[in-house]
Amino acid sequence: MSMIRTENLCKDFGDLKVLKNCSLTIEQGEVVCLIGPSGAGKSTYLRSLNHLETITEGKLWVEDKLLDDRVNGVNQVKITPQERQAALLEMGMVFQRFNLFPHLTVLENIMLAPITVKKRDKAETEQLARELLAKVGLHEKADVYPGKLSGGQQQRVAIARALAMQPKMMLFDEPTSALDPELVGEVLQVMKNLAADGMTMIVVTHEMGFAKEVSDRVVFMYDGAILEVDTPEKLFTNPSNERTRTFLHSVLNV
Amino acid sequence: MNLVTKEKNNSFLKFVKRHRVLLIVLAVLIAVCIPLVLTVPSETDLKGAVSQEFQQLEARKESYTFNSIGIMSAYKAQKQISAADVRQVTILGVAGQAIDTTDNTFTTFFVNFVSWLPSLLDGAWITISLTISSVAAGVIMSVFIALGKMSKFKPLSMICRAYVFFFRGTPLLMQLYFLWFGLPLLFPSLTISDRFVAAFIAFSLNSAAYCAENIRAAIESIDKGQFEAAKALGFTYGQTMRKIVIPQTYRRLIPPIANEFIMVLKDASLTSIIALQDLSKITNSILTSTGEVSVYIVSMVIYLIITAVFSKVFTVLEKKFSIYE
Repeated sequence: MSMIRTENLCKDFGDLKVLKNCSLTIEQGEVVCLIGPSGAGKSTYLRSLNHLETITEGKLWVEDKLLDDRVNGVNQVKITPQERQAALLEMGMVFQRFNLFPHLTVLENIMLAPITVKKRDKAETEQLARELLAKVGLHEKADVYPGKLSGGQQQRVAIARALAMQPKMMLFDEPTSALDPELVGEVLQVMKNLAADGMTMIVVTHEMGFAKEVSDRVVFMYDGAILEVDTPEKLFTNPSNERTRTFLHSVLNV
Repeated sequence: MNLVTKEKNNSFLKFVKRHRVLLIVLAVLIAVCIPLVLTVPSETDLKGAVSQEFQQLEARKESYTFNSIGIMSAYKAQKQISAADVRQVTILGVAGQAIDTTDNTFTTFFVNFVSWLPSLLDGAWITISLTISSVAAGVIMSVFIALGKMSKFKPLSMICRAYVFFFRGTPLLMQLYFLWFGLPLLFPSLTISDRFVAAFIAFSLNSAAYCAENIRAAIESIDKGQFEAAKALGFTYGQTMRKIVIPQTYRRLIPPIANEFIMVLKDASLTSIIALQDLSKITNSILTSTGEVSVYIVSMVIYLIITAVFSKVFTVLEKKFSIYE
């Protein structure tokens, strides 16, 4: 069963074509990294998976359930909002700028969504939240406000917050790009642990080392299109596309 | 246990230190007021103690008043030149002491002050309760108007826009006139019989229009990422607003709402025109009945005290809501 499948996904902003016929299938337990120069549409692709962007054309399946089949922006699929919501909740999202809720403590940040959206029991959720905090190494920061945390700590809380909804897959949108260099490692470590636990992950990243080490497949995007999909060994050592080669050359040989 | 009491002691001392001026003023006031209140004389006591001349006055049924804090005064007609000079008040007794006519300026002022205070405080209470209730109602309404204005549903946003346009674009005085004098003529069934209710309706509708703009600005100042995070976690629009966005606007809203509050407090004096007995109206009544200009000063000081107290309250609230920043 594929977790996510897209077929000829297109996204326009007016005349600007941001995504051009992107087709990709992601299997359960896979870790896929999206790399490419900025403006290539990596983030837009990721964001259209969980409907933060509405796609213009193409099909999107989540867990083999067809959510979108759009022609000229109009969805051809009849699906109730509840079904759509249920499918989208299988995706947890982590943002570049963390987007924690500043008015809530770390623990409240993690507990708010399960309690409000999934109507979970408060005591159970608190236990889960504390476990997740321990997992990301921040159990002693439960009652601190996000503003008092470093960027790396905030991002780890954001990961715990997404995990509290118990999603089947996690989307990471440049999770380390807004961090000071010395804080990148702690976030990547949490992500590596998550991958080792078997979580399906789609990661937009500029961390080539992480992509090389952790991912099962690497996707190279350029100018809104998916140019190359391959295992990290092949893509990093012997890319088949000329653009991939140029990009890797400029990133890896600084 | 010991530690707790120590900490409590400490914070009490800090409180005393910080507010020592206020506390001294309070102590003096209490010290002055207690004997005054304890020794309220009865009307007959005072009448018995005043001089012959005034007992004759009383016998001639000159107008006497005896108020709740034991001040008896008589009004004597004097030279009738202007409205302010028609009457001169003669204080006959206060706090168990029979006093005859006094021309000592300070005693006169003090006695006047004490005799005006109950009605001035009644007026101040009306002003305060009108302000608090109409700003509170206005703020609640304005949340919906602000959300309506930002709505993608065109008719709703048009209605909310029109509401704000109308209530900000016409004078509050005119709205008050319309509600109290105009409406009963147009629709007799919509007559509002209570002055306070009429003022409350006009002020809260007006205040809602102003606050709606503040709230809209505050909501729009919240980072887009908050909405995205909420959407990714599955929050509905309503949940996002209630749990995430609006709580974050509180701190940003306090300064403009404090401002609105103080504006309404002073605009409340407009209710004089529908004869609501607010602080300004009572002040003016005292002036016209006694001719004492000093009542204006007392009244303005009362306004300043109310404003100062509420400014303090808003500062404390702002601190409370910014703990996370």
